[in-house]
Amino acid sequence: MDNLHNVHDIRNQVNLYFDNALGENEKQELLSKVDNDPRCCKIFNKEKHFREFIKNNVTRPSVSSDLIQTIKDRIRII
Amino acid sequence: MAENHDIFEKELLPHIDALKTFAYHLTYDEDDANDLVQETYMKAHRFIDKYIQGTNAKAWLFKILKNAYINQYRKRSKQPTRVDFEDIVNYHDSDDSTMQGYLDLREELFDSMMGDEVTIAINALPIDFRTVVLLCDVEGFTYEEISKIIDVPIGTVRSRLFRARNMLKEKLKNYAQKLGYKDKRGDNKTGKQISGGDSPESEEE
Repeated sequence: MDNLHNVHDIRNQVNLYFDNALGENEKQELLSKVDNDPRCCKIFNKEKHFREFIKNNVTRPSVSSDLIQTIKDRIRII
Repeated sequence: MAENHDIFEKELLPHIDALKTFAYHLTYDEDDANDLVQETYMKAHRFIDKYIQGTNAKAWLFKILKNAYINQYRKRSKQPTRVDFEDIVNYHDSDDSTMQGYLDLREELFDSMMGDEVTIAINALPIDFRTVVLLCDVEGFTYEEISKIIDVPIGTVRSRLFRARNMLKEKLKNYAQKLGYKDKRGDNKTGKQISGGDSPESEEE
């Protein structure tokens, strides 16, 4: 059943897709729509770009070897 | 005992980088983040008998860290100078049916930013919204895992994510505008554009 009739539905499905919350059939339905509907493709790519931008640019502070050693030392003492 | 040590080394410690990132965005401070990570591992070690080997160690550790953060926050909330007002505001969580007003960002907008804006924008989100974005968009947890980590229903996770992403997009849009990125959608002038996205039905560019 085609659940992707309007922009709101498409956006909802695209969000669920990138959140890994779609079943296999729904995924295939969406991807088919992305391939065949330029409007759907645009929404899909925008959301993909946004998610990648967040994931790739968020600060990920490094973990020092001192911190790891401190944790290991404290655990040995306990 | 040796088995617990193995579990700790092989299943728990490998998640230290992800925990540090989460802790850093909760506390805004590297030293506090280190303390929180350390406390998380101390607690994990203390309760390691409750952990079932081979199950979701990452989600288990994140839940411990989240609880440790809340406890730490409660202690700090007794010190007025360190209280962030936003952290004590209770946000009303709407159900999925109220998810309207999707904010649409143009892809070109991201080209105008350096990347630091993401951290600034995430850190500017209220704690409940920041948490779900970090857990879902940064760490890749499922709705169900997030629901268990933060102890809220899956519907609430979804609605918070929807709101959080909209807030994030709004903040990123504002940063881009400060950097000279202009919203010219709808007129025929040339130049970079940005979409406000008030109308969920409009996709024209």
